[in-house]
Amino acid sequence: MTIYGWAGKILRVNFTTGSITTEDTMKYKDYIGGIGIGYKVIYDEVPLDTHPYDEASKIVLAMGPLTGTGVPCSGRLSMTFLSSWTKGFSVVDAHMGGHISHALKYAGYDGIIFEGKSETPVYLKIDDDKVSIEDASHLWGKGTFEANRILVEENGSDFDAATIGPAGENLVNMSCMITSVGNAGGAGVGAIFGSKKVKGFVVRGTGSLKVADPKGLKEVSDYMLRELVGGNNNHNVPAVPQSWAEYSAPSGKNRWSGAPGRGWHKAEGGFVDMGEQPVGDIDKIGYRAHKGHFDHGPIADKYMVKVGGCSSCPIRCYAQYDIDPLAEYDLPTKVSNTCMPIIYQSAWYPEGLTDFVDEGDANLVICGAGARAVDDYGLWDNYGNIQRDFNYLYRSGILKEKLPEEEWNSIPWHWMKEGDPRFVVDIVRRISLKEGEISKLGLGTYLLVEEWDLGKEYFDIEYLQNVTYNGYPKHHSSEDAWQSGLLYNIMYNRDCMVHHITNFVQSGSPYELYKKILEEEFGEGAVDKPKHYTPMNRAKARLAKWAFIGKQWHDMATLCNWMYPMTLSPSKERGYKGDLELDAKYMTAVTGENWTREDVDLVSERVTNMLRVITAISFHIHEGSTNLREDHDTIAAWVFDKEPDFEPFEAGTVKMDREDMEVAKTMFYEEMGWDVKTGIPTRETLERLGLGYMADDLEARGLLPA
Amino acid sequence: MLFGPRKKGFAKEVELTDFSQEVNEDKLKEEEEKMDLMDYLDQLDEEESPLTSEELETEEAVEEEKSETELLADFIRLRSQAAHLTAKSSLEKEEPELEQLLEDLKNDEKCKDITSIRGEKDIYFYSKDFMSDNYAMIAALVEDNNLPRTIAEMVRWNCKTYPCATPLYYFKNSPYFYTDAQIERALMRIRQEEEYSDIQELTTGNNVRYLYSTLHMTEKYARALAEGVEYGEYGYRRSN
Repeated sequence: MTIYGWAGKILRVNFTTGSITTEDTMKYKDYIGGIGIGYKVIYDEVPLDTHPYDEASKIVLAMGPLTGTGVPCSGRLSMTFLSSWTKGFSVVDAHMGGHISHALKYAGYDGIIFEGKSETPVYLKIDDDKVSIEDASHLWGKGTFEANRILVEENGSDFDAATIGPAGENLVNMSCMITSVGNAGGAGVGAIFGSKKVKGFVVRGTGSLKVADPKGLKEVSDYMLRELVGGNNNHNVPAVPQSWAEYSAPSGKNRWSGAPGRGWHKAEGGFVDMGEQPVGDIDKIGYRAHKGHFDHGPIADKYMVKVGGCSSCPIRCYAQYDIDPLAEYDLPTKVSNTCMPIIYQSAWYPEGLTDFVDEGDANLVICGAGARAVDDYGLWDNYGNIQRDFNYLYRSGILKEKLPEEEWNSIPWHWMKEGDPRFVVDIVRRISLKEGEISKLGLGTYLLVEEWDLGKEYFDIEYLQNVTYNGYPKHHSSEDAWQSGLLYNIMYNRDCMVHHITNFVQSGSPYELYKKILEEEFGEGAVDKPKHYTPMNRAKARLAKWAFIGKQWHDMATLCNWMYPMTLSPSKERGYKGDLELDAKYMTAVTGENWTREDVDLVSERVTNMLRVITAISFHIHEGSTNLREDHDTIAAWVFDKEPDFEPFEAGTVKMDREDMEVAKTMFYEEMGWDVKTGIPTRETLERLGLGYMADDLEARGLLPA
Repeated sequence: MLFGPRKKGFAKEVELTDFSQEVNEDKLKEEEEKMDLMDYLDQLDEEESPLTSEELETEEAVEEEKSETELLADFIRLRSQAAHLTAKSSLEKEEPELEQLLEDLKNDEKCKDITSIRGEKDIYFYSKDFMSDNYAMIAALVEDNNLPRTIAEMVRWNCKTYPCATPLYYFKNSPYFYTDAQIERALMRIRQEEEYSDIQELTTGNNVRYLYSTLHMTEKYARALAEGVEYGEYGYRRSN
């Protein structure tokens, strides 16, 4: 039988026995791909009391049917595993871009299950159907850039490589895997590979995938590119006025930063001006994001060479820099990244920064040094928590108390005070190589609080941005998306990667415009005015559910969580309304099956409930909990206590109200079909979603709501 | 230049080795030699034009036959595409029969996309096919070259429409491109004139100055919105 979209096989590699087998992807069809396969395999095969670094632990790397078919913004893969660093030690997922997901699909695989442990350092080589475990002793200890380069040189220029760095090798919880140029999969996956002595993998895929309706797929893609897609994060108006556009971001700042006069000064051949990028002109989409300018302002233009990104993506959100001032410190000048590494390294300098060449360039130069360091060492930052932990603990004097005097004196604090880029490299090295007490920052916030006896009140400090007491920060939470954003922020076992609401709130579009579009979908009252919230209502609960389950869809399909869904459009002719049926249209064209939006929602809900069930079981095992509402979904106090000059619901504040959030949780649980007292899915919900076996499991453990 | 081409010894030079030439023989296909593109195009048969010579002549004739009105419309469209308005005063210098031309333009079905906006100092024409009404409003303000009025009108409009306070750096971007000195001078005049008394200033925690209109929001709300822009997901953003 012909399979469309999926490659058809999942690779299973046991590093203890050396066995390499394949199995039929269609066994997991009900879970689609990506984290769907991941959650299913982890649930079925890994006892949830397994330590992530044990031999029994597994990593499930998987893609969905849309990746590799040409669907825009589908160059992603998901990695599913158990968390080594958050309360409950439950299931988490990481996501990696670049080009390797496409390579794997073209090699014939929808996923790889990494299991067992090697005795010596190895890497996995996938050359279409020739798969082998190769010696990696010559790579062990090397940074990811050098390791990836050597792997490609040794195996061939048409291979893609992904490796862990010293952080993963040294079992630093805060570790990642790196592919391409700064594309990372985080959440601690680096150390799990490290515990298996697996340096990484290389892939050459020369095959192809079958698409049921190639003409239909092209039509949908063209439609999306001409009418729906905006800038980065699908911001649908440009940052500065463009002649074809009715609106622009009034602050002059959003993720459609390309504009006349802005561009890449270090481009080969001379300055490349971003110009205007009218809706409908698909050749200019790649000029819209101009992410460096969004991150660092005009100074970024001075050092930008060009942009890069992932396979199948027209957005090109990776700014690629050549930052000359770093050469003075004998640091690499070529840097590429799009997220925290290139944005948030200044937090390592609590006493401030000093400019290098031009006024206002300090942050970019420091971030350039930091991004190369964290990517090369394979250190992950828990969405900025590791930097914030350091910054706060330094300023409060706690760090000095915790470090032995000799170690404290060995740290080049003068570099920190001088704003020297070598400081961030030094600290990143210490954490990645587990040198000294300071490396405890690499445990992650939750375990650091335990290790250094910082007390539960640590999570209530506003600066630190921990959204719960579980060890991870907020990620586009109530500051963007009222109760709805806070609800899905507290659902995961790591920072949430949901961008559904922030994408339209931060788009620059007028409030009345996006309110109308969203409230047509979810009901009146779903969308609050920026910084002026109203009490919880059912429409907001529906909105929260849409965003929450939608993120799981992206990580199953596999699509970019920053670009999808296409909620808004830059097209005035469309009334700026996007198309929430788009994902179903892609599934229909690719797979040949008749998909509707309801079908997409159903599978998304299924996999979402798997996350919730696994979390409930993990919390029961590790915390003795029978109640996720009280033990997992607990919101840090600062969310309610911030901005003391304001009252909740007053214009100008995002402080939330405790009672109102309890109402919010109740409404949200009802919307999700969960028990309102415990926040655990009911049997009725699980049966409806084909997860009756999970209901049986919960019942056997005494966790199933009555 | 201090930070010019890197001096030897500062940067680590890496010699790249040759890539492995190992191939997966199972997947090896015989590679046909690829022809040069220009050679390929040369070898193709000459394609006859889909238009007959009569039709070609007619096309050219139609081009020649375009009326003055249509030519004016094309001119306005071209400028609109380049993000420029067309000022009536500039047309008056070149066209003695302008009023008649404009009347004809208004009545010509083929020129329905041409419209105008009245500025303080002139009337400006643009094509709705290439320029939005809101952009034309901004462009007209810029053309009028009354900076206090431009700043005040846009601050009020941003407050009412989005809603959002407006940072001063907004006016350094396209299509304004005002300098710091121009903005400060305009602010001095705004503070002195009664008609702009609703325009107020605030400074965020990272020292970025914003303007807002008390006609549309309170200081508290304007500050919260401005801080929200400046204090992003990870702390204060870089200043512009």
